Amino acid sequence: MQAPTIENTPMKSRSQLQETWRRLLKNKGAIIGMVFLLLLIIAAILSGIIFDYDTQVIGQDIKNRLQWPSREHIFGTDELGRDIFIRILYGSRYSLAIGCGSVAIGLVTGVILGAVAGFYGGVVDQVIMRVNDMLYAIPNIMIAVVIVSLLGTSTFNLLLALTFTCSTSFVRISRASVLSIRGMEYVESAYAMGLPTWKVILKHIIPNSLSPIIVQVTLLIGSMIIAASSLSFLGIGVPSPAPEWGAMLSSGRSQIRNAPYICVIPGLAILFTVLSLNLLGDGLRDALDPKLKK
Amino acid sequence: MKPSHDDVLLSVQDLHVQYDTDAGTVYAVTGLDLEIQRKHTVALVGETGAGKTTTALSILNLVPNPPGVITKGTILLDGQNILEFGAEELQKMRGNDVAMIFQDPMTALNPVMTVGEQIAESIALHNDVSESEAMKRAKNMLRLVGIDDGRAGEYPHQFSGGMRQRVVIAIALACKPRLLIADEPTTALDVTIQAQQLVLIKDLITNGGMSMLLITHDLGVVAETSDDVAVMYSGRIVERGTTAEVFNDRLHPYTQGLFNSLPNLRKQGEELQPIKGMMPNPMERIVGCPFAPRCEHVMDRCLKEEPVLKEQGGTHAVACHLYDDSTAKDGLHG
Repeated sequence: MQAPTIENTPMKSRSQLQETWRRLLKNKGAIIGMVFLLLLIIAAILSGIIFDYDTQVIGQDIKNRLQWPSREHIFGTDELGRDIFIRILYGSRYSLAIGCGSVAIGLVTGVILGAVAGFYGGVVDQVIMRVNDMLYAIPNIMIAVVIVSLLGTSTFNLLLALTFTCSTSFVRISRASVLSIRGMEYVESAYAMGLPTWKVILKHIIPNSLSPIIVQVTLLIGSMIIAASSLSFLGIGVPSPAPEWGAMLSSGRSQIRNAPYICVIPGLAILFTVLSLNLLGDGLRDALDPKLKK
Repeated sequence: MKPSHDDVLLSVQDLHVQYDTDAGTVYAVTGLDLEIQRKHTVALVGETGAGKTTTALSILNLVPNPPGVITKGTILLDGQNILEFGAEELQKMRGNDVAMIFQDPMTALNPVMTVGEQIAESIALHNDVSESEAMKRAKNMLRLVGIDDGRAGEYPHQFSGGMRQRVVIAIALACKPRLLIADEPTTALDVTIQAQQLVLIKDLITNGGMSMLLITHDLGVVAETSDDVAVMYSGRIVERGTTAEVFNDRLHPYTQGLFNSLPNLRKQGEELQPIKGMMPNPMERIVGCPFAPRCEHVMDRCLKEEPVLKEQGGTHAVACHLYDDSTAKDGLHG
């Protein structure tokens, strides 16, 4: 048997990722948020497989309309007799897809534009940032309303509209962190090593500017879910009869006196989803802050 | 004895570098001449703002542009002018032929990459080797600079300042460059480990048969490590020669001032004599000698005419009117 020597025992070392994960697990709020989101993701995946869209999700059953929560319909039924529980589960697909989709597209475009602006500076920076400032100055919902009314109501157009508003904040954040990292000595040293510019950006600058961007991703998904629901509530989001949470809340308004659960339940769904995302975002922000190293 | 052409690794001739900023143009390097022979260590000495780091970055053609521009001059590395290199040739040259050690080891390493990866990155870039082979060589480099190779998988924040500097040295030497530029490699370190680091660098350089351009303002470091010295003032060389020549027979009033402002064992109890005044504003074009306003021996000629580097026997050269034959009688030794 070979005795372990310094040479052949792997040194215990934690990467930044492992370190972050360890610190995240210490945060109760973040764990609650993660668990809820995980359940929601599972629900979103399974609901597409288990439920039949045409009969169970949008199929009307007027005889059973406006039934209060019971064993048969645990969240009750709406004004057209559809099971709210099934619709809530199915609706998570819309919220998650729109939230994640718009943030993902916004992330890629925003980070690239912001990195270019921060890295090259000068005229390029001025043009990108001034256009960005203009978009930033207009309220999110307003931009979305304009885009959707120009292109027509559809889930895809809604996603596109929200992408714009996401992009602007990613441009700002990534520009700021690239600016601060561009001047670091390890970037200069990477050039002195002979790395081409694109490799310097990809391997040295972007990995070091990720922390604030990761936090922004989780927080923005929450805002985008609210924005999507708000637009659906106004009738310019996901077209009916799709079970989008905002649209469900809106359609329950006429029955709010005798069947308030139709409004309350989708509202709670939105509330808990966004709350979970914010808890996770807060946890990530703390975990990624090197000043809080313990 | 003048070195023959084959002995010269790097030759910088009449280099001019300026920074065009919003506030005006900063003339950082103004007509610098410098030669580095093979296997020699040349110390570039001067105070903050003299243009030392700009000179170093110019040799890698890495002056940040904008705002920096190399307006004039040639930098010959083995006879090839690197200022005429294209992007690809430059990338091949950097790290492989000329490598650089930066001032501050605390910020010179990427915090999200392991030290092994950072050394291997340079090796893989310049050699056609597999990733595992590059990592193997990176571990060898770590051992060479005195770090256990089991620590290759650790991140920079797990190392102390001195250890990080060793990693920085390992990165710079990983591809066995012909010229190493060390930009104040010991400034950011504890005094107790400065000497240790210098000995390490010097040993590796000597064993590898490399040349080094050592940038420093520490004359003690110069005496210990370098073969030749070049004293820089306001963007140009004012005196150069072998370390012995310059240390034993300081010619330029600025060099004399530098030495007089140092504590000295033989002059215990005496007051230190700082050089009066400040270096001229690099945003102004200077007429005459840049040191004239601070010089004790200033003459009319100094204010009108810029002195050029002239050899005073051996390799010792100085840019000062005091040593010009036509004015020598008014000078120091006159």
